[in-house]
Amino acid sequence: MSLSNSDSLGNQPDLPFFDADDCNGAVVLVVDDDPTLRLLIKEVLQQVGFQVMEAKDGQDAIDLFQQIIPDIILMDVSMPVKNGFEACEEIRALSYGRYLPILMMTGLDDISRVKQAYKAGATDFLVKPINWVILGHRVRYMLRSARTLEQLRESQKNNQSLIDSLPDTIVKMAINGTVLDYKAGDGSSLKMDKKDVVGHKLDAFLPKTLATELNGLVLDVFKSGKTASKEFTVEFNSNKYIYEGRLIKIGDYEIVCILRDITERRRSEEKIHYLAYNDALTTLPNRSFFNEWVSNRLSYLRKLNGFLSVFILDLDNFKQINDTLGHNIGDALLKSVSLRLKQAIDTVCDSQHDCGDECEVLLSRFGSDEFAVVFVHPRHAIPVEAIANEMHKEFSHSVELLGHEIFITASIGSASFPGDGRDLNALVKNADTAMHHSKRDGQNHFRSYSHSMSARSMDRLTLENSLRKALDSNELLLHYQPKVNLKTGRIIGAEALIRWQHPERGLISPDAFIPIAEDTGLINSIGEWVLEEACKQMKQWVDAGYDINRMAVNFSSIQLRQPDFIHRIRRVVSSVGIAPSYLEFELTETTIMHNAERSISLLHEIRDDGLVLSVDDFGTGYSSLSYLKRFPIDALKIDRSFVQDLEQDSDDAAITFAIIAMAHNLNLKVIAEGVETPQQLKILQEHECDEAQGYLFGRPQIAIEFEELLKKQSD
Amino acid sequence: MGHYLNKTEKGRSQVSCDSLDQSVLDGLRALESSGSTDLLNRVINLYMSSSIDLIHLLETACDSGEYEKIEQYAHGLKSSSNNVGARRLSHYLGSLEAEARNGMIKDVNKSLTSILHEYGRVASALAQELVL
Repeated sequence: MSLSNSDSLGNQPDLPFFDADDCNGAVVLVVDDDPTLRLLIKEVLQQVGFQVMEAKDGQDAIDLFQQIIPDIILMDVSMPVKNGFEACEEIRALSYGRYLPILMMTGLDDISRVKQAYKAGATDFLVKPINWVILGHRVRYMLRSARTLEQLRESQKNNQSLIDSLPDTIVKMAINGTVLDYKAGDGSSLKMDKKDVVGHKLDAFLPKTLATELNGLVLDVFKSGKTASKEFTVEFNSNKYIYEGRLIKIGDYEIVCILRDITERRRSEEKIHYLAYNDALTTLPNRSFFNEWVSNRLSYLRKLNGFLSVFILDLDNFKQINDTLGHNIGDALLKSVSLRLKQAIDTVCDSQHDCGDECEVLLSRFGSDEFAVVFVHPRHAIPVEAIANEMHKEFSHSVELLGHEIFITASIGSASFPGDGRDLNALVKNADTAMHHSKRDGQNHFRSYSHSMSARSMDRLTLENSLRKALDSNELLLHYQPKVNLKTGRIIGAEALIRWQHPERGLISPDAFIPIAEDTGLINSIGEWVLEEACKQMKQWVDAGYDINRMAVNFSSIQLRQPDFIHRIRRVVSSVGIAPSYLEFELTETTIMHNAERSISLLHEIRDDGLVLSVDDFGTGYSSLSYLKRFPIDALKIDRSFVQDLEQDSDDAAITFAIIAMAHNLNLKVIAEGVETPQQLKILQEHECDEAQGYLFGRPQIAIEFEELLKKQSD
Repeated sequence: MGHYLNKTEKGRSQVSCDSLDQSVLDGLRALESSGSTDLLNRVINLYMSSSIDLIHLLETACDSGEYEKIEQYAHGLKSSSNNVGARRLSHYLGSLEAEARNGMIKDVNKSLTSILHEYGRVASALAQELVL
């Protein structure tokens, strides 16, 4: 170490723990009324790299201190204006002065001054006359120890705030379990006064069980020296608490124990687990739980050559009950079904005496109105028929829910391990197939899976099943095709056409799903939805001021068969708030001719309400105009197949012209469908056809696109 | 403090030997050679200019018999004189300071006369130490 300054200062040896750099630039305030002494001190200290400021008395020192904040002060005692003791005390009271090193300079001739200097807050004292050789070292040492103390204070403060910010309860203990220090945790159930804890053994303030367990751990940690961590469940004040404790050995004689109250965390974990595996409505296990449970059983049943049967149970017409009576009743019904199924399971178990403890059963809800039941037996095949019977018995009587007498039935299908499938997916899928077959057999039926349930029927069943959900999942939508007045060439309205946007299969044509909807009776609710949607859209366009006056909607014969058909329509139209004269109902010849007498009176009622009636696909069915005279209809729609042949000047063309002529004769308007070419249009205009639809004017399109057409037309 | 009076230094005049502790002046010279240019001269000049004021103040205080002031000025002059090695002067001033603090000065005039005489010797000895 080469320190030119201190080397040249004198012959004193270098003190290895001092580094000249650590005081370079440090500011020393020298306070003395004797200018000679100030000069000397200044010279000496500047030589070792300090900056020196001078004050000539105590008051001068205090004023200067606040301007420059020195790193250290050398202060004489006897001074005019304000002496060193007073100045020292005042500086100590200032915010930066609290820990500042202050060296009092005094002669050894008066020992009482030394005492007084410490009392006034002096850090140390310098004996006068000052030893110039030592002075630099002395000041540097003072400065260094002051800085070390400052760092220590800082790090203690940091540690303390770190510890204070921990949510944990912290207990420092001696080897015999006596508490040496304690900090209560946040909102902990272990909140105590420090004085009640420090100096006591753990069992004096902790619940007995927790204290005993902790003491055991304390010994282990002392012996092994390794950190230990454990969870404790403790009951006190009739509440259950869970703690996570960590014990760390500090030095040879102390242990720090960090206790964290994890009761809340555990509770939410349990709740999350419960919510993830249970159905909130019925509290039954959900599909996730079912899947894990069955997979787990199957893995050991395979080794045991045991048996397992999955029953899938779907309520018949649940949607109707939900829609007509409301979700409250629907929910209550699902709860009652879960109770009935539990009852059925109990009855089965009671009657199967030999099943004993070996038999396991799980009831779960898959969602909406679908339930699943699993029976497991290590040695015997499951009597599926008997079990399904028992379940059906529970559906043979009605229940009263919120003042409503409700009767509901269930379709059940089953699949059994190992015959019908060896893994979870196969068993559930096959039980589902069996359930759909039983549903087709009629309500309240049961089928166990058989391999003859073909893939083809499966496909239709799947489609049928997803169609049931399509309405609720907003998968159905309407497209609108322009209707054009052939005299003016203007769009006068639209025909609403249903589309099904299947999430996996894409757009499905109505030809593919309307027959299924009709078979299953779903057509009623779908048809009603179409009417409502079309009415709303029409109202919106009319309200927006577009010059159109017709929204055509198709109806199925199944819908017309509903005894309250006319009421349902009126309800929809009035709820939307649109004038009935804007609506045109399109019915096929076949629909009208089916039960013609009833049709006549129904159509009269519809027409009396102000709606327009037209016969769709005219020419493809009876094609009996004279017969149609009996029906109160307004228009005929010529089927696209005739229009396509117009240009060939064929027989069909002749028929078309005849139809137009006769229809006009009967005061019926004629609408041509499927117009694709200007020639077709020209021919139809020549024969005074009233209206037309077709790609020439616009394909069926979504509402926004259709509206664009309307905008163009109004411009 | 008596041993200071008998102390002799090599090649110094008798006057300066008696009145100035050469080891103190050597200490100042050492500081000078380690970087404080002209330190000895500056210290002597500063001492001379500041001490003369204090001597006058002390004389006035003694004349009027103000003990507190006597104590204060004697103390100031004492520490200051120590810095230049004026041990005997410091000793006289220390005695006067102590008597004043105790509130009983045996003979003010005698003390003041000794101090003034010694101050004169110190001043002339210091003048000889000046490096021109």
